[in-house]
Amino acid sequence: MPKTTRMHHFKLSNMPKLPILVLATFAINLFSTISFSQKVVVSGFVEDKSNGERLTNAVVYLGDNRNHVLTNNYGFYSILAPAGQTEISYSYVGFNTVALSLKLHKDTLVNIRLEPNATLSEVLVTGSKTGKLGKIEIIPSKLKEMPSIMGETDLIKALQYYPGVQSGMEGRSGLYVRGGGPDQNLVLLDGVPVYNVNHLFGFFSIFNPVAISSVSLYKSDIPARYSGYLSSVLDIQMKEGNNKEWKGDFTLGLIASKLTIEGPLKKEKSSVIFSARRTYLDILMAPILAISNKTQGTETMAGYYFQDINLKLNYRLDAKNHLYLSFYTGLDKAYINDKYTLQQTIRDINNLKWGNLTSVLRWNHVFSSKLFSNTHVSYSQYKYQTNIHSTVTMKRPTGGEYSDSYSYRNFSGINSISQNTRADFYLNSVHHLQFGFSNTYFVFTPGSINYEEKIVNDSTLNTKVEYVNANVYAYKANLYVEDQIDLDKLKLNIGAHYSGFLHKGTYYQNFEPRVAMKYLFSDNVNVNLSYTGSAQYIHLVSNSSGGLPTDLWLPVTENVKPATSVQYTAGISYEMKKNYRFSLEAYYKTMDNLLEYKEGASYFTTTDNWENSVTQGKGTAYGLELFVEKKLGKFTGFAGYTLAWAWRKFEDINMGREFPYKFDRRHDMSLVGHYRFNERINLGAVWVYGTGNSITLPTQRYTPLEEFYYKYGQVADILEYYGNKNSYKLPAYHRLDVNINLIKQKMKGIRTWSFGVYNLYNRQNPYLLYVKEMNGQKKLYQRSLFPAVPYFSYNYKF
Amino acid sequence: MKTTNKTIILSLIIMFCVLSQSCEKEIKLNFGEEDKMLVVNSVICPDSLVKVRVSYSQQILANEPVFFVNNAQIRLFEDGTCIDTLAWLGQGKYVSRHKPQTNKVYGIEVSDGKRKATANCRIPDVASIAWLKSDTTYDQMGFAYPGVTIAISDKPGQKDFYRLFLKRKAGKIEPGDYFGNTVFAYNDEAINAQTGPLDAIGNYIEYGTYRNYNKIELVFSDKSFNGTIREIKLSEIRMVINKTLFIHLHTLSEEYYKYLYSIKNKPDEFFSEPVGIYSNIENGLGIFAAYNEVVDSIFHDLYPN
Repeated sequence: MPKTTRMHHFKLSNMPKLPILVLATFAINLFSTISFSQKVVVSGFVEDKSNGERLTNAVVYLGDNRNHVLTNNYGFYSILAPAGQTEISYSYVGFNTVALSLKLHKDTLVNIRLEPNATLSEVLVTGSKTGKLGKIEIIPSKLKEMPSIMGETDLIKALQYYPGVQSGMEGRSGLYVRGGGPDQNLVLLDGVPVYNVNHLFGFFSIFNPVAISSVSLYKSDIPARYSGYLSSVLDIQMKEGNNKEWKGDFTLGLIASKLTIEGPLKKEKSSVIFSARRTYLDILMAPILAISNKTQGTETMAGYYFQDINLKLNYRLDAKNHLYLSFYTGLDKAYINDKYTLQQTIRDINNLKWGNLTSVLRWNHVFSSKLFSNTHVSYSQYKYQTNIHSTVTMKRPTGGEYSDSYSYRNFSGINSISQNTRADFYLNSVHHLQFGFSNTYFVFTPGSINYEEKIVNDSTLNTKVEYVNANVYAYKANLYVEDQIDLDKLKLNIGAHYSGFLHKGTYYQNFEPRVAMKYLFSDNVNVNLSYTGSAQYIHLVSNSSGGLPTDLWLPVTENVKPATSVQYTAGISYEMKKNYRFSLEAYYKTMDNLLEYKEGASYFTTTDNWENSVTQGKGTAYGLELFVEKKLGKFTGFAGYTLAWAWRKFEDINMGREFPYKFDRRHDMSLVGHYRFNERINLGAVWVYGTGNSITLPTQRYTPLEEFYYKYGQVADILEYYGNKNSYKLPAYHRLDVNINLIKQKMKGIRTWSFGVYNLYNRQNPYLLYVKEMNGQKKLYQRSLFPAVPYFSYNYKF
Repeated sequence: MKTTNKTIILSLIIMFCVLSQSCEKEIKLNFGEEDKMLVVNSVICPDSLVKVRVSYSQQILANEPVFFVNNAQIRLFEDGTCIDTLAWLGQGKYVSRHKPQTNKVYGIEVSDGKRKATANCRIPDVASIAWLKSDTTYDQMGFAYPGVTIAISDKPGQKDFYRLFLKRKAGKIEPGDYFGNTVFAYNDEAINAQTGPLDAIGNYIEYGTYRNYNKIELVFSDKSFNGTIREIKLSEIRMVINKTLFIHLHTLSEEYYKYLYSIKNKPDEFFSEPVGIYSNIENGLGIFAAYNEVVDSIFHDLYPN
């Protein structure tokens, strides 16, 4: 039987004229610039002098500062410089800039080690060091200088302060980028996709900042090397480990502690970093439960914890070859175990656990001063599991005991194994080509239930039932090429990504064009334009606002089509005295084949055939983002403001009428400040404001047709009037967080006490609404999650 | 060290005190007299006089009984011309002297002096039953399970909406004669399977008095069989006491279908996405819709030998 082949693609006629023109320019330009002379290639790695870590996105400048390149994710750079006496500068946020004057006659290898500058007070997080709009970079080591929830610094929450990036619900780690959903973000940890980034139902993210070296979030201008998700790419690189000396970092917080150890396995050649974090709510609860058990005569153990373990090994085989092995595992576990005795003894063991596992083996190879390659094979897994086991022990009338038991197990998840090869080819001073391909094999476990009952006395009564949704297998192939073109004042990044997805004989394919253009009017003013086409083949089936462990990843099917999006952006950036930066960016995004639950459906109705419970439709998002940043000095910080609209339109929802997206937030503002009094004391503050989320709230009730109103002579049903879907706006969200860090140099290290308050002025932000009836009168109430919450943490770096 | 311990203990006490605070707050919904909307409910068909019921909507949290509008002026329009003003019957009910006619467009204008609501609908064509077939099956014990296949001849080139149900008595059923009005099926899943990929709202099932016995009612569109003959097979029909089944096939106006669709999808779970109930009333709520009906019957000779 022939297999169905579905071809789904961006039509060329739908592409705007701008990218076609730019592509044509690129083709002409590529060949016109090949002829070069009196130039030599300077290449190498940029490293942190203190620990030998290679630095991602460090800037390498030639003389006039205009001609520059960034180091790639592995610290490698290659730049074409004029032969003869040439000045090259190397800079990175938080490090002293190194300027070299070289006499160049031939291609030269220059490995540079930058020295951290402890006294240099630079911004905690930065838009982009090169004035590129649409990209946010964060320096994880600086995050502890920002306020946090209960002392747990969080990468994702720091990103939520940026214009265009929103948090969903209070305290959640979901990312809502420019009107997109939380499932539209590609999250890469050392190049491996991570499928669930949440701990504790989304209140914390899985990323332990101590183990992370760099974080980049692309909201637009997404380079062609990334694909698979509609709204953003979050690229997180784990630290490599100190290859000079053994170092450690220990943090004791209110709810969690962290330990990081790193050091050389073979000096300057090989290093390891191990980092672990665990919460101890369960340990803190133990004495309370013990008292309760003692007074009530029960034996109950209950608790919740989450943990993360990061491990990375790297080995420099020689100057051209480098191997990395990195590993991450995270787990959330909630449990209640109890034992009680009446006429019989019942012992229950109940637990719910979920977590990620990622591992990757990477090989970096420098073919020449112009060609660098990275190949990796990786494995990523997310699984969720519920276990319930109960044993009933009874006494025999004739003496002795016997016991019956039953157990229930429910699990679901996703596994993927992939190969990815990427090359950086620095063709000449104008073109930096990147190209590669990848293959990914997916195994989805949509959900399976095992039930087993054992009757000791009579094995014929034993029951074993399995409800298994068969595993779903799928394959994805990707192929891309991109070119960073540097034409003095005009910088272009042009690329294309081909993706194909095969599932049960249905093959979907997409061509995803990417064009980003930056024009420098002067040294401090530039204009950015971009066009990004994206496609997404896996969907998160969820009707929560993101963060529940039961959320299920499932692939496109014959009936559920791939989601696609197109985004246009235009922006301007102005830099004043290298200290202040202003940027203004507008975006317009359309999305097709978005997935939503049908009206009346929920997670609990999707256990048999999830395709029947979902529907596909369109989305539109547009807005304006303003960003002001102060980068240097005792006071640093930024202000971000977003004016945005986000809409959805589904044939089966809201009578087919357009409605605001749940997180359509008209105004979103953040003020982030950090003041450094001296070496020992620094103060941080964050104020956020956002228009309330949109919800569907009934405001009136009314009578239906008589056939529904009366049944069996009684009033049976009253209808509720909701108006338009998501037409009710919750009250605005705002809060102020502050913290102070007290730093002291000790004999063998540095200790830091951090004190802070989350939601300082105790704003009662709405988390959920509900109706309560008191004295026969119904009233509507809101519940807030976090009042003013003080916290502290203790950190020791040795 | 002592200071450190004190700091930790104090911080913990403060934290737990603050967390134990109540974070509940009442939200006021601003709902005034002017926010009340006219609720107009009426389904018309050629067999009956036009009847309309009018009430006011209430604030969602109100605990008072429904307030019917007894002073409304209701005008009835046929193809754009006013043909009648409806008479008040009491309890918000109004009646016209006219019976609507097939394929004509009817409109109503309801006014309470402050608000004016309007709506239109067309009386659809009567449906065509191509044929009926009795499909009785027998179990191992020899008990009969009557079944019936109904073939609907759909008109091409237009959207049609149907509602199908069975009765055991001809004509109007008296109030309270519940069993006379209803035909039960033992297993709704079997019916689902046999109706095939019908673009149906689903088995529009109302749970009956007896456990596991469900009233059969199908509401569906012709999306999957436009312009063709569609067979619908119902099996394991129970309590065919008189051996005669009356098949009622309604053609619905699109408004009626959308209304029934949204009522059917009304969620009953806390986590479900809420459903807005369809309304075609301008400046009001409710429904003004139409249907047309054809009734046929089939005799089940359960044990011919």
